[in-house]
Amino acid sequence: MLTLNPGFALILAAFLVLTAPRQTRTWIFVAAAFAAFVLLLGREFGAAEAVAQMGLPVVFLNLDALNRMFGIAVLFALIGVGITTGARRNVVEDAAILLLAGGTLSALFVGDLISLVAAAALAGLATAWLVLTSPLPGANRAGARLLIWHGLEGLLFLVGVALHLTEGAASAVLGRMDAASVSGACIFAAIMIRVGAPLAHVWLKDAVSHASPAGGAALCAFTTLLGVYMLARLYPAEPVLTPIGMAMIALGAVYAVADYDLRRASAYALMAQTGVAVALIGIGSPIALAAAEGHAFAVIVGFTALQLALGAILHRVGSARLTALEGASGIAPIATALGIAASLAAVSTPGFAAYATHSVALDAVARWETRVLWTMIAALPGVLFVGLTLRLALAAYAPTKVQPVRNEAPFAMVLGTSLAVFFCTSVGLAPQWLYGLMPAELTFDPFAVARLAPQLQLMGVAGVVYLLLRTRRPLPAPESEIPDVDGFYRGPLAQAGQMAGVLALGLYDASKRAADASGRWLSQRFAALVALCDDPFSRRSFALTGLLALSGFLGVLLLSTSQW
Amino acid sequence: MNGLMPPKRGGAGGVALVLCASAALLGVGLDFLQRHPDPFWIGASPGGAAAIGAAAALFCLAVARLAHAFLHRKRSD
Amino acid sequence: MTPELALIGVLAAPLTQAVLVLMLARPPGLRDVMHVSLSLFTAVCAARLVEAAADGEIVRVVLARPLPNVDLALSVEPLGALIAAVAGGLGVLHAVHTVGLVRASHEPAPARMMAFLALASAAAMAVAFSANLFTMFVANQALTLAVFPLVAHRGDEESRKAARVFLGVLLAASVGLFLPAMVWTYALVGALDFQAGGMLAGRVDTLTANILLTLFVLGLAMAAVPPLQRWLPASSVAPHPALVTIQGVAVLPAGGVGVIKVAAFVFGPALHDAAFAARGLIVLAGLGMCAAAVIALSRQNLRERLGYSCIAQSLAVVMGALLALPAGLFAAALQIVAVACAATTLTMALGTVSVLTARENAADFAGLGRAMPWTFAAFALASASMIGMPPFSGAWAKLWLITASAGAGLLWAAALAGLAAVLTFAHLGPLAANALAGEAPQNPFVRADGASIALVAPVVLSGAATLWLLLVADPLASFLSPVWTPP
Repeated sequence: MLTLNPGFALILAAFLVLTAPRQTRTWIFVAAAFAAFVLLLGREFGAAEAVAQMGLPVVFLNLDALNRMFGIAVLFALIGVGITTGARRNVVEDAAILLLAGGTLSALFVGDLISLVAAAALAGLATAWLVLTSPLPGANRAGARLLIWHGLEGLLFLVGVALHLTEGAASAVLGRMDAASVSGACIFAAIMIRVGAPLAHVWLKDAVSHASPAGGAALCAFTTLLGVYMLARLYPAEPVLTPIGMAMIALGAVYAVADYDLRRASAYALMAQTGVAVALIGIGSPIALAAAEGHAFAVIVGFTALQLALGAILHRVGSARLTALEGASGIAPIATALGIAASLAAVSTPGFAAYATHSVALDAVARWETRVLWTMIAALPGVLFVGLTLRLALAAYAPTKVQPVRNEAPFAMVLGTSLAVFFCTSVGLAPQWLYGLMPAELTFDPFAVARLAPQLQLMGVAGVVYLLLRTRRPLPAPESEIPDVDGFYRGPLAQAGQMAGVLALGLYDASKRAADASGRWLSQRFAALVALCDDPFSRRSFALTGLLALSGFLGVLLLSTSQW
Repeated sequence: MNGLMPPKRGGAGGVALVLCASAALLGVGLDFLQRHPDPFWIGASPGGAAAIGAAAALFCLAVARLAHAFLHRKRSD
Repeated sequence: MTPELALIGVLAAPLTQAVLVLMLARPPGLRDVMHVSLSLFTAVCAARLVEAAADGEIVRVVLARPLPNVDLALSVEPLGALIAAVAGGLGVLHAVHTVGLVRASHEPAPARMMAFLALASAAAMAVAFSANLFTMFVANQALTLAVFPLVAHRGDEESRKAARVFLGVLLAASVGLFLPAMVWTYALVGALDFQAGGMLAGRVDTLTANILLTLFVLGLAMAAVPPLQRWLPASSVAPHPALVTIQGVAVLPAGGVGVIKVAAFVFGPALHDAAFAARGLIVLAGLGMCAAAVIALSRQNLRERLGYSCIAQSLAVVMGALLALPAGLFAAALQIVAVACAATTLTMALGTVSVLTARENAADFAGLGRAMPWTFAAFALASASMIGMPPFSGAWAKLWLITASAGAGLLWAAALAGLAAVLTFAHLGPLAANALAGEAPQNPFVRADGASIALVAPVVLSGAATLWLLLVADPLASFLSPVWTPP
C-alpha cells in the first residue's frame, strides 16, 4: 500500500483545481476527499519509514487512532464544503480551501516536528489566502491581519523546534513535550494561537466574519481542529491547559451571546466548545483525552454545518446580523430550517453528535471532581442554545411588515449543508461508531435516561426562562460591534509600536550624525597631520616624522622576526 | 420610558416556548423517575440540571443587556 | 568540459561578456544576446564545477605567483562551487531581467552597465573559487572596483556621493583591516592557502587569534558587519540591475562566502581560541540584525527598506559562521543560498514594478498585486523566505542557525535571531499582504504596452527558486560536509 500522506492528495488537487473547468471543480473536491479516504483507511496503524533530511528523521506518515479520527472529520467536512463551492465561481478560493485542508491533513498524519511545522505553516498561509479571496467588504484587511497572526505562529514554531533540536536528532520525532522549557513554551505559544486561546482568539472571529460562505465553513473545519490535535499529541495532561480551556469556555460563551452577527457569534461558540476539548486534554486521563478528541470531532462537523447554513442564508439575505435576518425564513425557508438544525447540532442537543461526546466529557470531568469545570461544561449547551439557536429562530421567523419574496439558497449550498447536518444526526443517533474510533476503549450509552434527562431539562429550562424573560429592545445600529481585545492590538498597541519605532529611528539618526561628525573631525585632524609632514625639515614636524618612521621600522622588524 | 417592550406577537416564540417547555417537563419528570447511578455535585439533586439551565438563561440575558447598554461602538472597518 | 576548463570559464566568460557587450553595443539585440548567452555559459561552467566538487576532484588553476607560497589561484571546493552555481543560475535570470529593464526604462549607457555587471560577476566567481587569502583579497578589490561604477551610473550628485561612500568604506576596510590580517597570517603560517581544518589551528595564541578574527571579519566589509555597513544603504540609489548585483547575486554573497571561508579554512578549531572576539562579533551581528530590521521598518522607500533588510540577512550568515560548529557553518551556507534567491527576487520585482508603475514607496504598493499578480506572487514567496517562514527556504537556514546557537550555549544569540525574524516579518509581511490584499489601484501602469516577458518571467522563476531548498537540503548537507570535516 502506498505510504503517501493523505494530505498530499488534497494539496495536489489544489493545483489541479486552478486549471480545471468550472463544472469539474466540485468533483475534484469530492474525488480528492475520497482519494484521501482510500489512503487513510487502507493502511494499518504505524509509522512509515523515516527519511533523512538535513540529518533529521522525517516521517511523512504515522497513523494511529488519534489522527485517524481527526482525519475523518476533516474529510467529511471537506465534502460538505466542496459541494457548497459549486454555488459560486471563485477558483482562487477553491484552491485556497483545498490547500488549507491539505496542509491540515498533512500535519495530522506526519510523524516528526519539521514536517508538522511545515504543514501547519502551509495551512496557516492558506488560511490567510482564503480570507483574502473573499468578496465581502473588509476581507482584504482581515486577511492581512490573519497573515500577521499566522506569520507570528510560524516563527514561534520555527524557534521552538530549532531550540528543541539541540537535544539531538531523535528529538525531531513527535512526542510529549515540556511546556516549561523554552522550546516547549515557544511551541505551546504557537499552538495557543492556532487553537484560539484567550488574547489570541480574535483571529478566528475576524476571519470567519469576513470570509465567504464556503470560506467560513472551511475556517471552522480546518483550523482550530489542528491546534486541538497538536495539544493532544504534544501536551497531554499539561496542567495549564485546564484553566486555559475554562477561560476559552467563558470568553466564548460571553461573546457568543453578546454578538449580533451570528457568523461571528458562532465563531465564538466554536471557541467555547474547543475550550471544552482543551480543558479535557489538560486533565489528561485516558477517558478525558478520548472525550476531548471525540468532542473536537463532533464540534467541528457541527460548526461546519452551522457555518454552511449561515453562509447559505447570508448568500440570499446579504448579512448574518440579527437586524438583517428578520424574515429570512420567508426568503430561504429550507436554508433557515437547516440553520436551526445545524445550530442544534453545534450546541450539543440530544440526537446530534456533539451531545454524544458532551456526555462523555461530563463523565470524564466528574471522575476528577472538578466542580467549576463540570458546571461550565454542563451549562455551555444551555448558553449556546439561547445564543445561537433561539436568537436565530426568533429573528428568522419574526413577522415582517412586508411579505418577503421567496428566493431559496442555491441548490449546492443547500445540499452541502444537508449532508453536513445529516452526518451530525446519523452519528448522534448511532454514536457507537464514533466511540469505536476513539483512542480509548469506551462502553457508553449517552441515551441512558440518567444522562438524557439532565440535558433535556437543562436546555428546555434555559429556553423557557429566556423566552419568558426576554424583552424586545431596539436592536443596535448595523455598524455597531462588540469590542474585543483586537481593539487594543489595533489601537494603543499599534500606536505604542509606532512611537517605539519613531524613538528608535531618532536614536539611530542621532548616532549617525555623531558618527559623521566624528568622522569629519578625524579627517580634519588627519589632513592637518599630513600638512605637517609636508615640510619634514621644519622644527615642529621633524620630531613627529622621525618618531613615525622609527615606529614603522620597528614594526616591520617585529613582524619579520616573529616568523622565525 | 426606557425603550423596553414586551415581545412581538407571532413568529417562532410560541413554538419555541412550547418545545422548550415540553423538553423541560420531560427532562425533569425523567430525572425524578430515574436517578443517575453515580451523581456528581449538583446532578445529585433531581432538577439540578434545570437550575443550571435557568442560570444559563439568566447569564445570557445579563450579558445581552450589558452588551447592548455599555459596549456599543461603531464598526471599525 | 574538464573541470579546469570550467574553472577558467567561470572567470573568462564574464570577462569576455564585458568586452563583447561594449564592442557590440549596437545593435542592442546583439548586445543583449551576448549578455544573456555568456551568462548562461558561466552558469553551465559553475554547474560543471559543482559536479566536480561532488565527485571530490581536486581542481586548481594558478594564474600568477607574486610571492613565495602565495599564488593568485582558483580551486574548487564544495562551498565555493555551491555559491558560484547559485550565483550563476540567478545571474542568467538577472541578465534576462536586465535586458528587459534597460529596454523598458531607456536606461542611459546600458552597454556600460552590462559590462560592469559582467565584471562584477567575474569578481564574485573569483571570490567563491579563491584558493587562498591573497586571491580573495584581490577578488574583493576587483569586485569593489567593478560595482563602484554601477553605483555611480546615473552620474548625478547623489549617485556620486553614494559611490564615494561605497568605495571608501569597502576599500578602507579591505586595505586597512583585511590586508594587515592577511600579512600577519602569512607571517605566522608562511602561506595563505585555505585548508579544511583551518590553517591557523594550533599555530596561534589566544590574543593573536582574537585580533586576527576581528580584523578579518571587519575587513570583509561586504558582509555588512556594523559599523562598516554604511555602503549598503548608500548604494540603494544605484539602478535596479546594480541593486540585484549588490544585494542578491554578487556583493553580499561574496561577503558571506568570505566570512565562512575565514571561519572554516583559516581558523577552524582556532575559533575556540578566538572565543572572546567571536562572541563580541556575534553580539554585534545579532544586535545589528535587529537594528537593521527596525530601521527597515521605518523606511518608506523600498530600495532603502530592502537594503536594510539585506543587512539583517547577511549578518545571520556572519553569526552562523562564527558559532564554531558544523551546524553553524551549514546554517550560514544555507542562509547565503536562501537570501541570494530571495533578495534577487525582491530587487528584480522592485525593478519591474518601478519601471511599469513608477512606484517605489511602500504606501503605493497597496493593491498592486491585483494588477500584477505573477510579480507579486513571487514577491510574496521571496518575502516569506526572507522572513524565515516555514515552509520556505529561509526557514530552514534560520532553523539551523537557532539550533546551532542554542547548541553552542548561546541562547541569547538564538533569541536575537528569532527577534530579527519577527522584525523582518514586521517590515516585509504586511507589505506583501497589502500588495496582494488591497484594492487594485485605478490605472497603475505608466507604460501602455504592459510588461514584457523579460521583466516578469525572471522574477517568477527566481521566486520559485526560494522553494527548492526544502527539497535539496539533505543532499546539500552531505555535499557541504567536507567544509567542516578535516581530511
